Amino acid sequence: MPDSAISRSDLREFYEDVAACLDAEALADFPAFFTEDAKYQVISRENYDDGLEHAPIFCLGRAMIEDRITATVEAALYQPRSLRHFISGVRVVEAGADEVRTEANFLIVESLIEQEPQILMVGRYLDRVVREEGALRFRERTCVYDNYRIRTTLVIPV
Amino acid sequence: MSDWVRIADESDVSDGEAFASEVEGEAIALYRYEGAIYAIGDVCTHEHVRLSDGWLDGDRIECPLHQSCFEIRTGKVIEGGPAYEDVPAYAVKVEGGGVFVRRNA
Amino acid sequence: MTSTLLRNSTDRVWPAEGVTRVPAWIYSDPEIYAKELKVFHYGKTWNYVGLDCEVPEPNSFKRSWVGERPVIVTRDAAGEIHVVENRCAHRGSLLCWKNRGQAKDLTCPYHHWSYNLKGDLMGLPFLRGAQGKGGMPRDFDKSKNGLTKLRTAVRGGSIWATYSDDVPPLEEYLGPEILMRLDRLVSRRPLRLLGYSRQLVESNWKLYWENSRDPYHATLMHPFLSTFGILRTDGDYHSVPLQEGRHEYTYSHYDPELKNRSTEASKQIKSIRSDLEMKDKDVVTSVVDEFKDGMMGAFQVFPTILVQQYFNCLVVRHVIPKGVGAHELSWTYFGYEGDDARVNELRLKQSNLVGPAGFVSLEDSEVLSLMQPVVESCPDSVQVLEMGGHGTEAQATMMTETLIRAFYDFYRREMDL
Repeated sequence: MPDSAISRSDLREFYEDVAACLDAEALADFPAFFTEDAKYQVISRENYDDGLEHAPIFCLGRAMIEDRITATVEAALYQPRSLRHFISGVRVVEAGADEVRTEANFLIVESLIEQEPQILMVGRYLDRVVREEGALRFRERTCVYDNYRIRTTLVIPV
Repeated sequence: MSDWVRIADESDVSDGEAFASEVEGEAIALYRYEGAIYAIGDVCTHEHVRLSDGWLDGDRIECPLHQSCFEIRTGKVIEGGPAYEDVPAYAVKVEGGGVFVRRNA
Repeated sequence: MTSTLLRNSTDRVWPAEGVTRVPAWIYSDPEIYAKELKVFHYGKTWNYVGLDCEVPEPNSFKRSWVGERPVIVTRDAAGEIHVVENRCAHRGSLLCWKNRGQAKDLTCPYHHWSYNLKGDLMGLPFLRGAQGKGGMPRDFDKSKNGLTKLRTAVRGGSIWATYSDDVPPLEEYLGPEILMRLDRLVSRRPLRLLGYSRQLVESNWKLYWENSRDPYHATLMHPFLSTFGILRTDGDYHSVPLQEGRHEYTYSHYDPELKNRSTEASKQIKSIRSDLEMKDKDVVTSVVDEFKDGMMGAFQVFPTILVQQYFNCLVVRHVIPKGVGAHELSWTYFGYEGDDARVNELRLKQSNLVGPAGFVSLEDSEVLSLMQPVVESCPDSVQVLEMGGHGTEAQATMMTETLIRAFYDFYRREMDL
């Protein structure tokens, strides 16, 4: 196996690191999981299946991901919350020369003040992962959520 | 079915009643009307159901599901129901007490 | 409605101060809510139900809602638009289960009653029974058992429906100011659907309705706006109520120099930061001036939509009531046929500004969903609406609640409160 090859356990570790970053609300660390030219979007299954491009979170390039984090941390006003990501079924769909296409399921449980925990979002990650400077990074992360509606708001990236 | 195929005895087909049959996997219904025998496709072009289970009213058969009507002599759909397409009509000949059908050229 | 059914009938009197006070029971009383649906959504109003680009081909359909009632918007084989209730005339089951698609007819999953796209009953299984038994009585008249049809109107690319035979034609209902603003966005070029965001907000629908009539909160609760100089209290801003409060519009002219200025008013807003910069300029500063008027703005068409343009992001917010304490916001983002790749990309990027994850809208649903249980717990409390005075006239400032007062002026007349 060449050094650059991406094993399933590398991937699993990578996904868990990303989830841990979001669960800890260490949002400033989030953009580093992406390549400079990465595409990151959170899109409803309704739009995705119908070939509609609109996504409530739509970032082209790491700069836009950084902007979203800045806006969330410095400007956005939202009630305190705890998020827990549960990721399952991480698998390689296609291994190319310099990237792998991967898929996984996600479940995000949100706990808000005065309320029982509830499912914020459930869906699939459809990703393209590359190795860059020794670390895995997303060249593309498309989060397709199954929820018909977003309950109240989507603040923290998926 | 480019050749004549025997589908029924002449005595099977009576006035005011559909006779449902099948040839080479094609559902066909026979009707006797004003002395002559006619054969048309027996599956409604709207949803998959046999027209012969429906309501025969003079020279038209009405689909039991959604009342699309077809002319029993020609298979033509009559406007007003949910079906838009005709059912096929077959050539018919009666010979030696048997009814024969053949796909129209 | 009899007063004995009210939980506390003596409280159902509007405060003597008039429109500068709004009683909290209007957000939680189920009878008030039921009356609103009857008088507004099912009464003499035109309800937005969709865009024509959602049913682009003959024989296509989409689901929508009028008040709480599900409806289907169809385009028949001849290209004609129809709006019918999504409710089988037989037993009331939900007819159409898919949000959008192609179909030649509508068949109920329960007993397979089949309707054409105009809503006429075409046929039903075993009308004449089976083996000579059962079936419908001879006098059953299919022509009298179609779907409930709504009166329909199309303006440019927008589709509207009403239950009322008396409401004036759509153009008259909207009036010249709204028509001009609606036409600007949906009537000049064929529309192209970009997609939906759907959001459930657990607050009474009127809290959202007021929120988008409230420029006072915009710079305070949405720090993003002022931080990046999109909207400021010292910018040009107009709040204009229409038809005695029924509709309204607001507008401002985007001023790219605004961020560099510091004025008395801007100093009072602690959220203004001069050190914050967007790294990707497309979201807040790149604009293709497609309307050639430099205008940004929004308008409300009572009782269903807020239409908003942020730079090149075009979106209709459809407010769909879901019980007294909840509403769905259905955001439909659109562009135009023939948009070039650059404009399309700007629309997609700038849609980060609004919607359930929007930089300048996520706070609304956060605040409103926390507000609902509070107003429910204190039904006899009142809101104070005196910013900008006591009147309901148009004002050229953001520091006003005139649009909310104008709305309640209208609301009280219609609701007889």
